[in-house]
Amino acid sequence: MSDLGYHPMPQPDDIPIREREDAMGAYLMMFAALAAGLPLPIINLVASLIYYFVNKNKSRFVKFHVVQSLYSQFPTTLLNAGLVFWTIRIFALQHWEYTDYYKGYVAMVIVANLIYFVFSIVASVKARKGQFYYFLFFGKLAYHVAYAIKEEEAEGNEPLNQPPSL
Amino acid sequence: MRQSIFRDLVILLAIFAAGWLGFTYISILPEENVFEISPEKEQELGEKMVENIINNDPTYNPILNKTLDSAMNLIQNRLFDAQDTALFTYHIRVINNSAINAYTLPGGYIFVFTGLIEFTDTPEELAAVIAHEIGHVEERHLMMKMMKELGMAVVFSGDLSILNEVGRTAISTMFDRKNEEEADDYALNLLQNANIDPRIIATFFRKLKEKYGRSESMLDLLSTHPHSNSRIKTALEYKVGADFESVPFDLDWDNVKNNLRNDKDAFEMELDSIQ
Repeated sequence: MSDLGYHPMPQPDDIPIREREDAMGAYLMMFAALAAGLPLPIINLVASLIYYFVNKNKSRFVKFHVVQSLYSQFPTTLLNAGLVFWTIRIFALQHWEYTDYYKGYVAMVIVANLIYFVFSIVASVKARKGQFYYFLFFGKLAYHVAYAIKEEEAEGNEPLNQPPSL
Repeated sequence: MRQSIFRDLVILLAIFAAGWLGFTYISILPEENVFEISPEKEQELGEKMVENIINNDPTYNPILNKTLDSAMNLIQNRLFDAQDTALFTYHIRVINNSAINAYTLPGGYIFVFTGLIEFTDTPEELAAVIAHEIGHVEERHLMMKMMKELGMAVVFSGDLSILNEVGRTAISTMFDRKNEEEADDYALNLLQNANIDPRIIATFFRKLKEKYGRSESMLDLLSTHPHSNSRIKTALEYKVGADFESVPFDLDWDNVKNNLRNDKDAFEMELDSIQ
């Protein structure tokens, strides 16, 4: 991780409507894709990846929201996929005989999805207003990915004229 | 920054783990408490269901055979006398059906198929199966399962057409592993009290396993298949008390079975002649 610091953050008034809508789309698009990919929660991940590659080179503000949405999508998808495969396993091999751990997992996955939904909706509304919204963990990660000054950027921006070494 | 992100990740994982464990150990939905249903109420329901089966089920062919009756009396009395406490008065009926099976209705009505009797080599094996079925009733597994699948309102609706459905659920119901183990434990204890070697359960399991291999056995004793090995082991490792003495039944089991077979043949011939 670089210690070169971070780019300055734009304020709502600096962000054009177009970018705000792209940022909002990052979250809203997931819902549609999530519903489409429901039995096998993989389609939504493919859709988010496409959205990510299309939008990542737009402004940093857009990149932040796209990355936050994509990264938070990974564990949610993994959890849902785990549930699907565990359920199939129980159905096929164990005659529907499930343990309390499975029951707890189902409840936890439902709660996790609800939390994900609520946070995504709040984030999409904020993005539309040109604001930032940080998820736990993913928010910081996305901020770092989108706003950290990379070495090559720092190199290119070095002022050509330097004071003499005194 | 790196530390801060890492800390957030740890918090996230901790929340997930706590949630999973929390939901695992805390029941989310209040289960309808089966113990609020009095044994009398269950008995009443069972009576209705038995009546319904006798009147409406064409496959219900009770066997009337004196040798078998006296043998069954001997076996069941030994078991009933060994019960410390019992919620129900048990009624055991033998049904003419070649499947190796037995089932129980609420209120302590146990139905044993002739196929099961012919499959057993000793009366002790049959006693073990009956003890296991009694275990399910005493632990209220059947009511619990029916409540779960159909709900209180349906089970006690009193409607005749619904009663058929309730009966089918009761007969076809599969108990989960925990219930099976509880019924096994009950049976092991009961058999010991009845001066029957509890390890007979393991013998019977193994025989069933050999017959059915890995496929599904009809008998609920072995229905939760992947775990039957551990249940055999539990039965084999069961420690009997120091004063335990195995008292075999004073029965000529082969004679009982032969008698039953002849009777069955006669019964079927009679059926043929009617048709």
